[in-house]
Amino acid sequence: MASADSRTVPSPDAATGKIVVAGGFGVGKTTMVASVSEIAPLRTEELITATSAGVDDLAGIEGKSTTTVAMDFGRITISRDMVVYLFGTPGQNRFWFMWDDLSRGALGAVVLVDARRLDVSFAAVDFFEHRGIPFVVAVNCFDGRQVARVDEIATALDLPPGTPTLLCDARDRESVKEVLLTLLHHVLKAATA
Amino acid sequence: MRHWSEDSWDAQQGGPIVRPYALTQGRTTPSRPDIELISMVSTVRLPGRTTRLQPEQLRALALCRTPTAVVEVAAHLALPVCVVKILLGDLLDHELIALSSPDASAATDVRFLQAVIDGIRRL
Ligand SMILES: Nc1nc2c(ncn2[C@@H]2O[C@H](COP(=O)(O)OP(=O)(O)OP(=O)(O)O)[C@@H](O)[C@H]2O)c(=O)[nH]1
Ligand SMILES: [Mg+2]
Repeated sequence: MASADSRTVPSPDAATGKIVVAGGFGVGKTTMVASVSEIAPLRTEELITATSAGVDDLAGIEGKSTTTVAMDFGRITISRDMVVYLFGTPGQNRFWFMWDDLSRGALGAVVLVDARRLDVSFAAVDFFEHRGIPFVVAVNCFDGRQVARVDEIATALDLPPGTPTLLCDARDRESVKEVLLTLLHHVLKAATA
Repeated sequence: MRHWSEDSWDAQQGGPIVRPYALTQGRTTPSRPDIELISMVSTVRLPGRTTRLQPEQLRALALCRTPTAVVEVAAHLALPVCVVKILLGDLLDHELIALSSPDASAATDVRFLQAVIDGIRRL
C-alpha cells in the first residue's frame, strides 16, 4: 500500500471508473480489494427501505422498514486524470439490489469464488450474466489449496462460454493484479468486438 | 426526536435513523440527479459568512479541497451515501463545489480501458 502522502492528487475533472468485486459471503472480497488499493478499504453505508424504491431514495426512512447495508471500497489512482474504484459488494444475496446500483456504469466485475463453497457465488454469476456485464471468475485458493480444476469449476458454475476463469490468492497483490488485468482485457475484447 | 446537534452520534457504531433524515431537513432525494457514487467532488470556494451550512457540509468542503469521490466523502463523514448526495446537492446549488461525473460509456471506451490496463500493470 502506498503511503497517503505519496499519492498522486487527481485533477477535479479526473475520469473515474469502477470495478465490482462480487461473490458470496466470506469469499475474500474485502481482502482482494485491500491487496491492490492504495488506501485501506473504506466502509460506507447505504440506506435501504424494505418497500425499496431503490437505494438512492430516503423515502420511508421514518418507518421501521429501513435498514443499512455496508459496502467497502478501495482506490487506485492511475494518474492525475484517472482514478479507479474497487467495490466489494455485500455478500448476502438479499442485497442484490445494491449490486444494481454498484454495477451501473461499472467497467466490469470479478466474481470471487471459494472452490469449497461454490454455491455461495451462484447468485453473483447469475446477476452479471443476465445483465450482460462482462465478468471473470477468480477462484480464491485459501491456504494455497487447489481443491478443484478451473475447468471443473467453470462447468459447475455453468459459466457462459468464453468467461475467463483463473485461480488467485486474494491476499497477494500480483495475483490480484493478474485478475484485474484478465478482466480488463476481457472487457476490452467485448468493447472492440 | 432529538436534533442531530444534540448528541455526539457515532456513525461508526450505527445510530438512530432519525439523524440522517434531520440532516437533510426532511428531504429524501438530492437536488441534482447527476451525483453518482464515483463522481469527483472538488471545492471551488469557501462559503460566505451568511451561507448557512451544516457542520457535515463544512467537513465535506474541507475534504474536497483535494478532489474526492462521493463515496469517499460518505465514508469520511460516516453517513449513508444517499444522505451525502443530498448534502452535496446543496453545496452545488451554492456553487461551492464542482462535480465531475463518470462517463457512462467508460466500459466501451478503448482508450480509457487501455490506460487502466497500463496503470494496473505499473502498480
Ligand atoms: N488463508 C486465506 N485466508 C483468506 C484468503 N482470502 C481471505 N481470507 C480470509 O477469509 C476471511 C474472509 O475474507 P474477507 O475478505 O473478509 O471476505 P469477504 O468476501 O469480504 O466477506 P464478507 O464481506 O463478510 O462477505 C478473512 O478472515 C480473510 O482474512 C486467502 O486467500 N487465504
Ligand atoms: Mg467484505
